[in-house]
Amino acid sequence: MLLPRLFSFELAWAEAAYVAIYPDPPRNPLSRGIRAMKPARFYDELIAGVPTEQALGLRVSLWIVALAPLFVLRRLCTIAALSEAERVTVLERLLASSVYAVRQLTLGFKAMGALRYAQDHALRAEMTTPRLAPAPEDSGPVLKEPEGAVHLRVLDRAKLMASSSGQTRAANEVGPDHAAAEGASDV
Amino acid sequence: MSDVRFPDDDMPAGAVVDGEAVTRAVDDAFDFVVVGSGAAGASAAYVLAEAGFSVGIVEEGPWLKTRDITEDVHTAFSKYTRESGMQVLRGRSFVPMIQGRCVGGSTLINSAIAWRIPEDVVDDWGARFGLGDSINMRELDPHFDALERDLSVRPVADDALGENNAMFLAMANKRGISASRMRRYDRGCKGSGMCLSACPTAAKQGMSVTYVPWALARHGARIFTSARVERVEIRGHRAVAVVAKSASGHPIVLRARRGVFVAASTVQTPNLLRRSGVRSPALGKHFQAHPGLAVGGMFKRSIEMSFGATQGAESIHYRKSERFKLETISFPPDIAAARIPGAGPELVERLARLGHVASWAAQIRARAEGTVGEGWSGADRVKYTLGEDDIRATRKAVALLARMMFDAGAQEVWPGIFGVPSVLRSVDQVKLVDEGPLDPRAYAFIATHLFGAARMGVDPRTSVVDADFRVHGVDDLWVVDSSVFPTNLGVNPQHSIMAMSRLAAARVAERAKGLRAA
Repeated sequence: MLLPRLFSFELAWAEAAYVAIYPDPPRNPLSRGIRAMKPARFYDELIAGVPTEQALGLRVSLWIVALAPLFVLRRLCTIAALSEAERVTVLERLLASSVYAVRQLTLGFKAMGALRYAQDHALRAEMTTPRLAPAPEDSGPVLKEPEGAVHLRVLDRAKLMASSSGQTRAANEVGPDHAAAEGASDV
Repeated sequence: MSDVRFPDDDMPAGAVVDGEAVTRAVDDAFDFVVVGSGAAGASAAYVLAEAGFSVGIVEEGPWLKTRDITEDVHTAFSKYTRESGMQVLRGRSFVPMIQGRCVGGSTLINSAIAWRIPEDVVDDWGARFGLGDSINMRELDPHFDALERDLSVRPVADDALGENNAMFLAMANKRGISASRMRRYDRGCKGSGMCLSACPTAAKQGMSVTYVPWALARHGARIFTSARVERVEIRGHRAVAVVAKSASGHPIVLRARRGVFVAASTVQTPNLLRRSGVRSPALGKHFQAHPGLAVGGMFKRSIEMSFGATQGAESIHYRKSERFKLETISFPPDIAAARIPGAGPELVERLARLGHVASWAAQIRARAEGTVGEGWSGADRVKYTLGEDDIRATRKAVALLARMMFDAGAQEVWPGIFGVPSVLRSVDQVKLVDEGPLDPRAYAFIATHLFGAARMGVDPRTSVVDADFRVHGVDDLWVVDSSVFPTNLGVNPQHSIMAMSRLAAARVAERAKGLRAA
């Protein structure tokens, strides 16, 4: 990687932008925002680990986000100097920009933050677990749950592997030499 | 958990040479050397090894073992996909393109969907490219049969279906659209919804838990991982060796007594052939893809995409008439967050309700053709721009999916089209999608199925390989990945790639056996 690591002011920009995109409670119904996950450090490491061309794209996207107040709000400051609500406004404007490169690079910036934010196992579980009991009036068309369906609300790897151990052992044993008879009834 | 053994756990001593750990130059010899261990390379390697030939496989990426798989997409993509998952097709727009770069290739991070090549496609190849005598269903069917036995192809089971897939089937049925459960490689799918970041139970039957370990453990093949192939050495119009470099920086030379199979993928194969001195006017041309676009919808009731087959239901109802296929796709939070509209409180409010989100997608059989070349840094470069008729097909598909979602009771639908509201709140608004822009930059495409760029044909002026997969003008050099496909398919290609590769390898093995006997 030819580019230098992020400077401290760039880290501050990234931090400010990510905290606005994935805010802390109470502006976030999830138990926490991205701040505690050190998103700027993550972004820095990401840039350091990807090919030069991609690193350049990520760096440019950070600068676009950072300097956006100049051309979005006509204010002589960076994103870090704005209030959180203003930062969100700026970011939403960038994501909806009529300039393709601007909205794509901002989307890329947002997506990289998502990679960090969703790394947290407990938070993933919070996101994927339904929040409300189904309302009878909104049950939609009749969609019967398949009989025997198992809801894995939180992926418990140990349980998953344990429950699959029988089949996995079978998978070890069943290969092309043994599969013909088994497969015949499946296909 | 400790008693669970996966097929990729135990390999015979010496069968795996890890390029990260190589400390000196390697020089080895095999009957056949196979470049790439994805769907095409693994299938060919297995057939050749099973036929009794010594086989060396070279893979650019590392071996991701099943027990090391995590749900975290960033870790998976940064380690096991090309360019950390940030590879793009470049044209008027940038279209992300995800390719596996590990043992098993993209079979580790796809949804294990098994589609036999449609007959109309094979007929078209026969009519337009003169391949009818060599590539036809009579030749291919035995290989599809074998694959389906080996890899346990079956429709998604009830207990792995999940609501995202079940709702799609119900809504398609309601509109009179033929749809069905997907047929997938499946040996005990638990519906973990983790296909995109690799299967944690090896149920998906990717190549790293099937043909590669089978070739190694049962038939004595050897694999060199984390070794990037620099060129195929061609001497006097004959391929004689593969020259690679290990991740630790040491040269690896694998001499091929009987020949070299290239299965490096549609993007990498043309450039590898170029670096090897193959000169063909068709090389790098006629690249095709199936651009895909996902449509999300928020429901009041629970959907729980995190449970069920990542992709479990589909419709080819419009494949021929409108050139699109509809299918389900469950996104993990890491990917969904990027696709969900908004930033700040609006975004996290939706993220917090991800358990209520459904996601379906359209896969376009695009007519557009692109080129594959090398960029300024030596990186692979694909130029590709969708045409207006492809965008029209996309619009129709997205509008249909949006209507199906509102049929199902969606509170809001996210079409992913710039110029159309990012959040549609009623079915009446779907007409805005019907009238959406025809600019490819307005659509949030992703490309996963890649074809062409070293295509097959009888005329060396317009094709790179002949009807027996042999590079025109070079003996003992075969290309067996989807770069040889003269066109795209309109259905998910892994199964067809494997059947074509098996067919090629079986023919070569047959001939080589004949020579050996003589």
